[in-house]
Amino acid sequence: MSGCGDLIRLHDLDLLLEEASAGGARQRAAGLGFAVSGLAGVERARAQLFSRLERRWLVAYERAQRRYGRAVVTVRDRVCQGCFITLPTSAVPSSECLTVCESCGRILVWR
Amino acid sequence: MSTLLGQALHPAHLISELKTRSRDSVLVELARQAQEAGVALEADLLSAALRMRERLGPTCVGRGVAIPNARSLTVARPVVMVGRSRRGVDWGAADGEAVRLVVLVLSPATMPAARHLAEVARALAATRTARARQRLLESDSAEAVAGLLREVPG
Repeated sequence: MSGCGDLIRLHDLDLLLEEASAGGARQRAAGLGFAVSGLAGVERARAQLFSRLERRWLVAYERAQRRYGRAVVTVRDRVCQGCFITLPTSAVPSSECLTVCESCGRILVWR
Repeated sequence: MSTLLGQALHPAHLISELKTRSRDSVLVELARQAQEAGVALEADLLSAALRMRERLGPTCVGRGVAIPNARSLTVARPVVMVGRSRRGVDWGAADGEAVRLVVLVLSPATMPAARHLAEVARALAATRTARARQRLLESDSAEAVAGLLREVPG
């Protein structure tokens, strides 16, 4: 499995956990009739995913997550969708489709 | 504020008859359709996000309705898709009823959680009454389904 896919999964899991954990969002979900009964299972899945990732990406992920709340962003027309800086032409996607934005430090997913 | 349900439903966002009959295979089918419609960049990653959402807590709300939903980096733009199943899908509903109407709500990762949940709430409201569900199941075009979804107050 590619590091790119795993990082996107980790990012999406963190969005889901944010919804499940944030007081207002959780209450709203419960009000709609959606039970949040599997939180522990999702947290276990996150831990498993986390343990599979390369250390260099984990470090970059945790640092950006702490700083911005969201650690992974896409690149559109060579623009980082986190800090909206135009990336230099020397910034090219690696074979894993991942790089780190030299401006903000977020992990970039090239699509 | 404009809502997803207030927008036109593209014909590619309506699956009149789902081919599959289990929850996870329906999620894969919907994710693939989202990729073909240009809404999702990668069907595999989207179906993984949808399955994880079900793991958190089932999205079937009873009376034959499920509202699977996800915010994901792989979603290019907010969209609502509708899938129908005359035979019914085993979703493990608390009321034991097979799901015949699936309203998929997708949001990009940049969408705030509260706004995403507001769209989910509107999708739920659109299926609240027996008459609304029947009309959504029997409408013969994406345009007609979109018209029914637009009836939900924003």
